[in-house]
Formats: sequence, structure tokens, C-alpha cells
Amino acid sequence: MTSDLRIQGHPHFKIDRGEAITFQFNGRPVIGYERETIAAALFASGLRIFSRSFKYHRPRGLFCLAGHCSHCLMRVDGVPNVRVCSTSVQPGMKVESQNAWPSLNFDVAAVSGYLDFLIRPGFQYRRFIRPRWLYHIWERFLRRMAGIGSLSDIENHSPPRRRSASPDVAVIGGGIAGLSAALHASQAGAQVWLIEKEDSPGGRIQYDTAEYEVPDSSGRKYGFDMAADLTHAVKQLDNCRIVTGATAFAWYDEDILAVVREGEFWELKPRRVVVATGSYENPMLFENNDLPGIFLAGGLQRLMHRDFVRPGNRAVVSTNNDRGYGLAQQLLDAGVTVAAIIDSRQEDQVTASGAARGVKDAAIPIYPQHDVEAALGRRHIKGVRIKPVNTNTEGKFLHGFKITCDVLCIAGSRIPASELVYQRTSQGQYLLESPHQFTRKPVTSSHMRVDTDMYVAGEASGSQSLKQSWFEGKVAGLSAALDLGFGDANTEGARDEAEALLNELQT
Amino acid sequence: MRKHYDVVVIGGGIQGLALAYYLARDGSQRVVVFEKSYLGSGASGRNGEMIRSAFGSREWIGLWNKSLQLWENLAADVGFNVMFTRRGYIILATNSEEFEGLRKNQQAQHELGLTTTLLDAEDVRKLIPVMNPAMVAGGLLQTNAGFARHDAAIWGYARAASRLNVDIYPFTEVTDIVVKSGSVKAVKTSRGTVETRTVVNAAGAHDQRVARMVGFELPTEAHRVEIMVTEPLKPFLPKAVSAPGMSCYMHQSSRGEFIGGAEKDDFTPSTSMKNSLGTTYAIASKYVRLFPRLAGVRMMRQWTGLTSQTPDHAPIIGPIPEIEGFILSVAWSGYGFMGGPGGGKALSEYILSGELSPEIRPFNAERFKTGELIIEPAIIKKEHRIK
Repeated sequence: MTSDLRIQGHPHFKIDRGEAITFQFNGRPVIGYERETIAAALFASGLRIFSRSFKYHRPRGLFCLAGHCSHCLMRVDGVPNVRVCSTSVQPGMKVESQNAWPSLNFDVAAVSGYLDFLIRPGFQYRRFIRPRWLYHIWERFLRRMAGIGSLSDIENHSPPRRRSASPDVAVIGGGIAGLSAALHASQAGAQVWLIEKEDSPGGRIQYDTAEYEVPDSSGRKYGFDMAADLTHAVKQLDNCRIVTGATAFAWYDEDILAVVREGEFWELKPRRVVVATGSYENPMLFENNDLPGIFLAGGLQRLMHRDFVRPGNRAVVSTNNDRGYGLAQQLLDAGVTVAAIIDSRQEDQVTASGAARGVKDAAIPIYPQHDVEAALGRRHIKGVRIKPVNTNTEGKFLHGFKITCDVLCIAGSRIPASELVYQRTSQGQYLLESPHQFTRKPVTSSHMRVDTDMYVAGEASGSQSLKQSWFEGKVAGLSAALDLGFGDANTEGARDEAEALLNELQT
Repeated sequence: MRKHYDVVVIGGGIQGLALAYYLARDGSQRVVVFEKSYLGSGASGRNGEMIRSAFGSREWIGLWNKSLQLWENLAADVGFNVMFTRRGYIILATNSEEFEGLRKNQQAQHELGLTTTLLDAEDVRKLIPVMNPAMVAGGLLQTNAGFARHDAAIWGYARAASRLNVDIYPFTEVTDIVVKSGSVKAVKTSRGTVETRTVVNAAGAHDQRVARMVGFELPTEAHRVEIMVTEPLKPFLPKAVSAPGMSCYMHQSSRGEFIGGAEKDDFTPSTSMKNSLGTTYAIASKYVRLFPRLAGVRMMRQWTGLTSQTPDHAPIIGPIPEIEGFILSVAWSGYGFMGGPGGGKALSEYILSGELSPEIRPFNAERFKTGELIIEPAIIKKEHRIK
């Protein structure tokens, strides 16, 4: 039954998984397909618990599928702590679970969850002080519990090749803002490197089937189409090099941007940098919010539109913005029943947004002014208990109730992933986005500049829309090129025009 | 803040807080601690957490062994588990010359009553099977040494001192020290002025700035030290390990993180608080040379700290003859965390009794004039610009 979680037909995609291959999981053979990730193949084979948490050994399932969280860490061919959500499956591969004994499904150490009263946060500083010998016994136990994966089996790991380069402009992140920055800086004449963490540029929009207005042009396009078209346009440029599977992870004191890639270590000394590193999805706070079956919206999009695997049969979407409604539609497209949309916004806000209208036809119940109070289930989500959001106005549904589901989609807010900016320059400003969330954003001066040789664009700067990200990328890319003496009066004109448009968008 | 204090401590690191705690506990002194930033913001909260007393010189063994004994009962003393563990500390010899050095050090240690064991290459391999045998010529094991949680030590001392009515002011900068006719009279801070006759300079890497307030020039230099932490792994390194010959040290924390630091072979002094790629390479490649199976493991965090160093790499502890009431506890050269309890206790004994104990007497400031430098063979040394 579980095998039919692989989506066979989809309104937006022609699905080609490639040939079937066999690999090993915990000693047993599992069937996967050439173009699948390990995570997708295991999920489709019925695996739900992918790891156990560090302290309480709580079950953890697929969650972000973007390589950000620690839920899918496994041992692959003797290498510990591999994120299987972003590793493709190979024939004969040996995949093993970590930090669970005797098995992921039944882990003896999960008993620590019942000893919570003894081991509250900070307990280690307050207990076992007297007598001394008690601590030495306790410590032995503590140490046995330490660590996630075990040391690698590989003794003679070949060191990465050390390489260096000094492009005119380095654009970090190949989402909409990064592609726009790379495109415009290259068109102005600069030598550009576009550094992308994943296997292809496009950012999260390449897994999005929502329609967007095409910026700097007319008409509307699907997210995945727009990502593909833009990537194609950038690939056509002679003076732009796209480096995929590469993570820019730090600025060092020698003023070197360190970029790591399979088998390679790049020391970049770019003359100008555009940070377009996007954003992280924020999980929501409720009881049991880490149960397997709970996904971030972006994780679901990757599972459904990258791996072509259905997350389950009956989903609930919890949101505080319009994106949740798009996700509901996308779940329907993948063949998942949507049991309810829980929207924490006021009812009039929900009606005014118009997003709800799009899914009205599907007869999905919408609960405005509600949020999730708890996820139900022990090893996998079985349902959610929802409650009205505390408010003074009269809500329609004043008492909490349960909804059965096997998937919960969290479509919440996003936070800028602008660590590289802070590491080098400004400390950022804190903005109170909602009563529950502070967001830290880089401080930009004109032309999206954060430092003499550094720009930020897109969601990394706090951008709220695709259009805004595009124009921020354009302003940053053109300015970086102009800075270095590329372009002419027309380039400057185009930059100023884009910047005027941006200011309009923000007011 | 009171108008008058018996002792003003400048610096809220382990030296300052330990001293304040012992002064209040053993002498009921009214003590205030001023810290420019948050408590433990300097080297005290950035070090490698390792603790030993197995050095090679009489002076170092004496002071650090006093400290080690205090570490053993520190949790019970301050009522906070600083997680000091006696997992054992190995000083590694990578060649026979270094091994001979360890043998000499052991003689000095035994003369002073320390129980340390000389290990041959096979013994080390049995204790740490994953270590690269090509890098091991032997080692010296101190079984009652180990490591502790550095933040916990700071919090523990601060809480205990506070309970004994020590006033602790973080985010308070000392701006000047008032000296009249050769004696300390008052301390000016960003929060106001307090009167006192005793000031202790425990300002870590900012020791020179504080000393200059009384017109005293310290023979110290601030140096950047860097540390790296890997993702948590199941325990494979049961001991703390220091390899002075390779200028590196490491241990595995109770969370499973492999943590330690190293120096570049072509050391260049810096006071930058950023990590350098050169040292990052040095740390990573030394880790992998010692533990080949660590290759490919992810680095989770790295950071820097500043240490203050003297030409002989030993701290300066005690009064100075030039200014009455100005006391130093500076230039711990990267060994201040492990020496914190001992330094604080010994200095508090001096302030309370007026007598310098034999443990701290050799660490006086005069030695740089008289030339009676302290030669310690078993530490990681950096090239010093002051000769």
C-alpha cells in the first residue's frame, strides 16, 4: 500500500524517476529510483521515523527536506550524520540509522522522555553535586548518551582540493534574488560567480506550482517555470559561472570567503559580494510540534514536486499568511485530501486576502482565528487539536476540537538567512513582526548596500515578495557592476529605475 | 553600589570571580567586581576547558596543583555543578625527544607528590585506539586531571560570590584608578566612583589598559587563540589530550562534540576577534593527523579568544612595589581557566594575610627586571615579540 505514495500523475509535472535500483537500509534491501533522494525512497518504502532526538530520543521524521534541520541524519556508506533529504540514492548504498537502540521504532533511550521531571533544562548544573562520587557514576552514563553518529569508517579520506579565485562579483544563493543579481551584473559586463548550495539554481520557487507575475515583463508564470527560464538565461551568459552543490560558509579574517563543495575547498576573494541567501522557515510553537508527519511547507513542496512522493493521505494546513492556501491546493494536486486550513489571522483579514477564494471550490473547511494547540499521536501524527486564537472580538469557533490527519503542513513566517552579512558587517536591526516573532534584518543603505563591497538582496534582506526579491537582486547586481566601473549611463538609469520601483513596493 | 569597598576587582572572568568569592568566604571582605561586558566574556568563556597540573617546573606544578585540588570540590563549594571530570589528561609525545622531555617532567612531578604515569606508545594506543599510531611515541597520563564546563565555572563562582554579598556589575567599565602619594584611593567607573585601598587587575587581555591607569607598564602582549568544535559524535576520545610538540590540544565534551585548538606553525600575533583561515587549516589538519577518521566530519562552530602573554609565558600574580594597593592577576597565557581557582585562592590569602604564599611568590612582576624567569617546558608556547 505504501508504494502508491509515489505520485504517478501530476497536473504540472511529467514524472521521470529513472530506473529502479536497490540499496540497503539497516541491512535490508529497499527499492529506490535513480533520480530520488535517499529520504524520498525510504519515505516511499514506509519509513516514518528517520532519527531520534539528542536528549529525549523523541521520534523525528522528515521535516524541512532542505538540509537545514537535523531530523534526517543517517550513516551512509560509513560516513556519519549525512542529511539523506539532500543526498541522492545510489545502487548498493549502505544506509543506517543512528542514535537509536535497538531500532528507530522502538528506542529504549526514549524512556528519558518519562524522566523529564529529573532532567529539566539545566539539570546537569543543579544535580549530582554531592557526594562527589555520584557525579562520576552519572557522568559515565551521560557520556554513553552523547553524540549522534559514530566516527567515520573511512581511514584515508582524501583531502579536498584547495583552490582560489577572485571574481568581480560573487553572488551567494541562486534563488530569484541571486539569479536576478547574477543576470544583471553579468549583463553589465562583470565576471560573476553564482554560488548555489543545491544541485540546481532556482531556489525554493523551483518547487512551487503557484503562479507569479513575471517581473520586468508581463503575464504570469508558474514558479517552477520561472526558475527554469531564469536559470536558462543565466546559463547562456559567458561571463557568469554557476557553481552548484557549493556552500559559502564563512568570512575569514584574511578577508576570504570560504566555499566548500564535494572534493573542493574554494578560497574566494571577490571584489564585490551580493548575499542572496534566502530565508529559513519558522516552525510553529505547539505541543508535540516535532512529531513525524509534521512538515514545513517548503519541505512538503520538495517532497511532492522534487521527489514526487505524496506525504500522506489526509492533511491539515496551519498558516498565518496566504501561502498556506497555495499549499492546500498543491496538496490536492498531489492527491492528498485536505481536511482543514487553520489560519491564525482575523476572519476579515482572511476574507480580504482573497487567497481563500482559490481553494473554496474544493470545499475545504477554513478556520480563521484558530491555531494548532497540539499534535496528537506518539510515533506519528494522528490528528491535531486546534483552539481559537485569544482575541477580544467574537470568534465563531470558541472551543477547541480535534481534526484527524496524517500530515500537518506548517506554512508560517520566514526569517532572513543573513548570517554571512552579520559575520562581516552590521549587527542587523530587530523588528517585531507579530506578537510572537522578532525578526533580525540586515541594515541596508541605498542600492541594497550593507558594506563598501557587500550587498544583500531577496529574503535575506527581509524581502516579502518575489517581485521585491527580483528588483532587489537587480539593484544589487547592477550596483556591484557599476562600482567596479562596468556599465554606462543606461546601466545607472536601469538601476535607479529599479530602485524607485522598490521604494514604491515598500510604501 | 556602595561608596567604599575593601577590594575592587577589575574583570569578571574566572580569576576575578574566584578571587572575589574566596575573599568574601574566607575574610568577609566587601568586594565589588566590575566587568566591561558580560561575565566570562573574555578568555574564561572561550577556552578549551582542559585542566591539569602535570607541568614540568616546580613553580607551575605548585600553583596549578593547588588549583586542581580546588577543582575537585568546586561543585560542592559553590553549590553548582561545574561538571569537572577526572577523565584523565594525556600529554602526548610525538617523537622520542618529546618523550624524554615527559620523563624529565615526571621526575619533577613525582618530587612534588603528583601521581602521573608515563605511557609508552602501546599504552596510548590501548587508551585511545582511534589515534594515529604514527603520531604517538608515548605520553604522560595524569589520571585525576580532566576538564570542566567553563560557563558553569563562571556562573558557579558568580552565584556563590553574590550570595556572600559580593557586588557584581557586568557591563560596567572602569575608566580610571585614582592614586595619591603612591597608594590606590578610588576607582572610577561608568557607574560612578568607589573608594578603595585595594584594586586587583584581572582584566585578561585588557590588562595593559588597566595597568596604565596607575602608570604601570606590563611586559604583556595580547594574542589571538582559536578553537573549533565538530558535530557531536559517539564517544571515542576518553581523555583530554594535549600535544605541545604539535601546538594543539583537544577533548570530547559530554555532548560528544570534539573540541580543541591549535597554532599555525608560522605564528603571527593578532588581536582580531575573527577566525583566520590559516589557523582553521592548522587545527583541522592537526586533528586529522592525530585522528584520521575525523576527516570529513563537519565543523559546527569556531571562535577566538584573546590571551595575555608574558615573555616567559607564566602569569604575573601579586602586588607591585611601585603602587601600594595595586595587585595583579594577569597574563595567564592560556592556562588561566585551569589555574583560576588556585590563583584566586592564593591571591585572596595574600590580600587577607599580607603574606605571599610559596605557590605565587615566584610569579611576581619583578622577575622581568631581575631575570629570574620561570622556565616551563610542558606548555604550548608562541613566539613572543618582546624579548
